[in-house]
Amino acid sequence: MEDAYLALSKLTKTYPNQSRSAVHDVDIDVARGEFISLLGPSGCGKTTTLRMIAGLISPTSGHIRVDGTDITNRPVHRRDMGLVFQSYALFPHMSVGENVDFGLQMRRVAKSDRRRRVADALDMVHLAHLANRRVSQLSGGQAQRIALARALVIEPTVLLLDEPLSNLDAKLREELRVEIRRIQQETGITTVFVTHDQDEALAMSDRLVVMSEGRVEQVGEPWAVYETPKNRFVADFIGRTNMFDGRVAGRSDGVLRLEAEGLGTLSVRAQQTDRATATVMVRPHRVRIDPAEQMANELKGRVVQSSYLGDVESVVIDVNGVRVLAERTHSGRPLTVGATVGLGWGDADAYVIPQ
Amino acid sequence: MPTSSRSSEGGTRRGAAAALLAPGLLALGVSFLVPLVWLARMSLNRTVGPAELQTAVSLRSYIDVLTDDFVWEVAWHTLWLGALVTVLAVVVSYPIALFLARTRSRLRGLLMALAIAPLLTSSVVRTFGWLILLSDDGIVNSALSGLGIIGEPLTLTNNVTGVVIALVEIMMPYAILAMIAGFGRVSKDLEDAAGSLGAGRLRCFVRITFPLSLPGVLTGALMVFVLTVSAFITPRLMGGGRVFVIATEIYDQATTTLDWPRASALSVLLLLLFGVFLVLYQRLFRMVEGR
Repeated sequence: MEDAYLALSKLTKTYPNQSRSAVHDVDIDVARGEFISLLGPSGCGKTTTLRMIAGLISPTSGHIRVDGTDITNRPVHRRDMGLVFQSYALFPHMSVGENVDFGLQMRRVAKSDRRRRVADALDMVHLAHLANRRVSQLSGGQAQRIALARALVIEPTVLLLDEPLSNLDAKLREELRVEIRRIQQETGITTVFVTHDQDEALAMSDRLVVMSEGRVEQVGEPWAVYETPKNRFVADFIGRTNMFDGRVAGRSDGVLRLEAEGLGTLSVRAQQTDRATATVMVRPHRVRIDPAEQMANELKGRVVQSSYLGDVESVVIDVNGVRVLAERTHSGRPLTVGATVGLGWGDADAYVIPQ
Repeated sequence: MPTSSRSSEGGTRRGAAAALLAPGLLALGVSFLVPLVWLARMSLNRTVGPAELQTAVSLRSYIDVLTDDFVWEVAWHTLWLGALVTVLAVVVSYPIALFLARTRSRLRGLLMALAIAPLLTSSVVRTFGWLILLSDDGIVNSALSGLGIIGEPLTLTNNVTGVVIALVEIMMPYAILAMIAGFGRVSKDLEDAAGSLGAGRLRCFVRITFPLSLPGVLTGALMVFVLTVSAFITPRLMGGGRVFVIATEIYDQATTTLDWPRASALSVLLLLLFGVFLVLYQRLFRMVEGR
């Protein structure tokens, strides 16, 4: 990207006595005002990458640039980056107001200015009334809002969020992710968000960076990563999915026919059709149970498991020894285990994984 | 009945707790509480002649002690020694304790063992060690004169200097252990957060690390102070009979003068002093912890 505001190039971190690098040749460009998520299983290098951006870990090689300036070797306290931790990391010996004020004090901002900016920052997270509270009197959700206010009051170049929602319960997490996104869009701050929770990443980000074993697997908008994963890892990691391996049996009009073990012939719309074998991905919510109309792929199977979740019913169906995941919405009475059902999906509901 | 079975289970648990506590409480009672009561009782007896006791309930010994200028001088001297040793031991131990509390090195266990290993030898042995090291022809003096830094050997034994040096070293393991236990609130995330907000290392230490380590510093200081003020062996051996502290005074009263009521009265007063410092410590602790 030409106009990258935050640019990581060939960023690598290798620890002594470890054969595999924690982060390997990572290239990520973030546009000004963009919200980007680093997503991956634990140990994939996402936190190491974030800490290198923050200046808490020095990279073995590679460069970090902000607005064209190379800051790779700049110490953490001169980087002007706002950092929010999973543990909140509020200073327990200071009041809420003093916590928010800390960064301004370090920058030697005039006292009258500081008071106004602290008040504004607390207003932004709707917690102005807590300024004189002790940190120990805050709930988790409040603590993380204060941490966000503290990170933003210094008007950082980049906001870095390290699993900020992971210590909160489910409902609060959802509430706070809406709020973080709102504040991010209001302030227009360039944000890097690290998470292992794909729902968070999908819901909040402009773009996702999926990482695994220290490498970037895919970068893209959430819908694009979800609908068109580059490889098996990404397909498997983002959302639940069915993946069927098959031998290419024929092609016509952009439709690929595939012989898959136990499932017979599957049709799938695909661009790339010049291979002997391919992996087809079908998301469970694309699989229709007892479809009324004719579908490009139609199978019969036995229900082996049904989980009724209220808004959806998650079903596992055995088709000649192959397990197929499906989801039923508006299902009413759930399916009985052991029942034989028909299932189907259109050729556009499936997707051929490129690698 | 579920209720009755639960309450009987609770009863068994309480019985088990009492049974498990009994040996410890018994040992404490016999070895600590009973002698303490006996000591308090002794302090109320009267001395009628050299080494001659009269059973009584009298405050004579307390009045004698509290009106004796020498006792006050010794008491001040003891407190000064305690304060000085406390400050020095805490200052020297602080970096070690902070490092041990924070490091994730594989050598942490070994370093920890090394830091507290001196506790494995008695303070008598360690004091004799210092006597040898600090004597006129000891390694310290010969090294300094060998380097041409001093002409005459420094007098480092049989005086307060020697007592302070030896006590500081002897107290260090206690200080380190107590401080590590009190450093719970010091955390890497907080320091990283301070860094990201623009605090360099020094300001991070002054504003974050040090204030958060105060509970540990306070615990370490109390421990060293109490142990120093009640120390007998090191002041006696290193001081060569020229350094007087309350503990040596009690010893002299009990074994030389054979004035047991007076020795007991001194001991009780020292105990009360510890009580005062304990209360002071708790006040301060709540202050630094609560903030």
